[in-house]
Amino acid sequence: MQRLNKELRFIGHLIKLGLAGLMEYRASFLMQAVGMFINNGVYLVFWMLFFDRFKDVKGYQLEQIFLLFGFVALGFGIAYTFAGNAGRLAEFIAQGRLDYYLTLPRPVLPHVLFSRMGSFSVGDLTFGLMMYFFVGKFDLLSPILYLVCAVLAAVIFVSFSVITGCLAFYFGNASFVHMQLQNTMITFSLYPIGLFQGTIRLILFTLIPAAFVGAVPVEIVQTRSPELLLGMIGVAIFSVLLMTFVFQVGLRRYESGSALHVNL
Amino acid sequence: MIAETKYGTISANFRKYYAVVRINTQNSLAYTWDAVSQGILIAIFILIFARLWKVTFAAQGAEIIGDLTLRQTIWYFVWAEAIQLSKMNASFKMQEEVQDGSLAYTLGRPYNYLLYHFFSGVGEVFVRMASTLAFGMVIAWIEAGTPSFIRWETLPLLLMVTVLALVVDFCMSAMIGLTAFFFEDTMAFRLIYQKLLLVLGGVLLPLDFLPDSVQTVARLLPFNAVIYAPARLFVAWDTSQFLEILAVQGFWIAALGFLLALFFRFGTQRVSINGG
Repeated sequence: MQRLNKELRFIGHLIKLGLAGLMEYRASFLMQAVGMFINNGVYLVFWMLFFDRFKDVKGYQLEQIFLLFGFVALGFGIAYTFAGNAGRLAEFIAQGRLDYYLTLPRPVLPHVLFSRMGSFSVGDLTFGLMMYFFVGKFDLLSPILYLVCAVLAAVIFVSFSVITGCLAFYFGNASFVHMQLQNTMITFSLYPIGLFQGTIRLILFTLIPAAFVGAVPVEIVQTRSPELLLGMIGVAIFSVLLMTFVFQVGLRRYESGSALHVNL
Repeated sequence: MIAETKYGTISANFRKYYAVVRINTQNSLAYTWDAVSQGILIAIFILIFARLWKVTFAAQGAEIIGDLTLRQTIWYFVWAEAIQLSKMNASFKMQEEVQDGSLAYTLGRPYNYLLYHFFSGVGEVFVRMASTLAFGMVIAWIEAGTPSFIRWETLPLLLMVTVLALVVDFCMSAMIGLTAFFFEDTMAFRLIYQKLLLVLGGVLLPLDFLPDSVQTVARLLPFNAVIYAPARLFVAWDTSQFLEILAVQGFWIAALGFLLALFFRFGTQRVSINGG
């Protein structure tokens, strides 16, 4: 327990440093965050135009779409704002940039993940928070459920990113596949799950867990089902264990690089 | 008599820009993963759009929405997404050249700066378009079946409209890139342009599906000449509409091309070269 506290304090310190780094280039940071905010907003405009003409998609109306976008944006925003290197893990492994972290007396994975904050994803985070105000559920329980589910979604986002990034331990330069798999997860998560049946649906609940960062949280907030919430907590815990296991096994195959890198 | 331009004879110019297209096509072929990545992206988009519109058509109990059948709607996205994912990235390249100063070198070379960027982009488009169309068509075929409504004999004319669409896009994109002369970072303009294409250009849904008021505005703007017009012709060929699109594209190319030339001239006057 003492060790866990120590590591959490360390992560807190990394986040503080990352935030200071972002604030160093305030104008650029704000521009990127606002840009991402606008980017998300346009997809919402698409759905507003869509529902202006068609009233329902497999039980989804505009309110559910707001919730869905809110969860995906907030989950993604939390994940990549704080664990800014999650999306670059494959690149780090392929380029031998883990050397720096391996020489330091801290657990490698959290150190790599939290040593950079994402600036673009701050726009997603803000967008995800704002989406909740459009939904308009202001009772005591709903906002708490919303935040809890978004944090669980963030955990799943990071775990998926690390697991797919670990492909680089086996295939060398897997940055392309890593990026594609992340994009696939985000793209599928932004559409009503009812659109997908059979094998695709099975994949979205297992190999590419897009359902757990969008559709399932929507269901939890709407039905307030404790079983579903427990199930989602279970999935999040399992994904963290799997991520740690995959990374540790992969790390044994890691080959040091000879390139010089400067970590600022 | 041989017609001469500022940069040499017409045939020499043709050979020069043809070489630019050829070299960039070969260059793109070396990066096959890039083309495959666009192919995978279009496959995912077509799959999702196919499912979305199948459900929507079924829920409406409609055979036709906005003059398009379900099959036409799904195939519409093949052409629309192929253009969207394959088109040139002139704004980003130009912004980089202005920012890092390499523009100073390229301006002195014996070619027209804007034409060079256009033709080097064309070389990349060839490869990406082939990949996106191949992947997109396979998924559309599986999801929607044979596109019996497509008139393949009109393909050369459709390709012509698509090339003109790329020219319209290049004019807008290049103008955005050249704003780097005044604003340094053009990301915000680029994002806004991309999003306008998504909604008012017809990438996310055909203009026929938009509410009437939005549709009227969208049809007056140049964005639909880039995506919607060629994609709509692909699934529902109409000769009179083709001629109308040709006139609209011609108008926008003339207007935007003129503005781009002015913009370029004004921007390059701000370039100062200081040795090094």
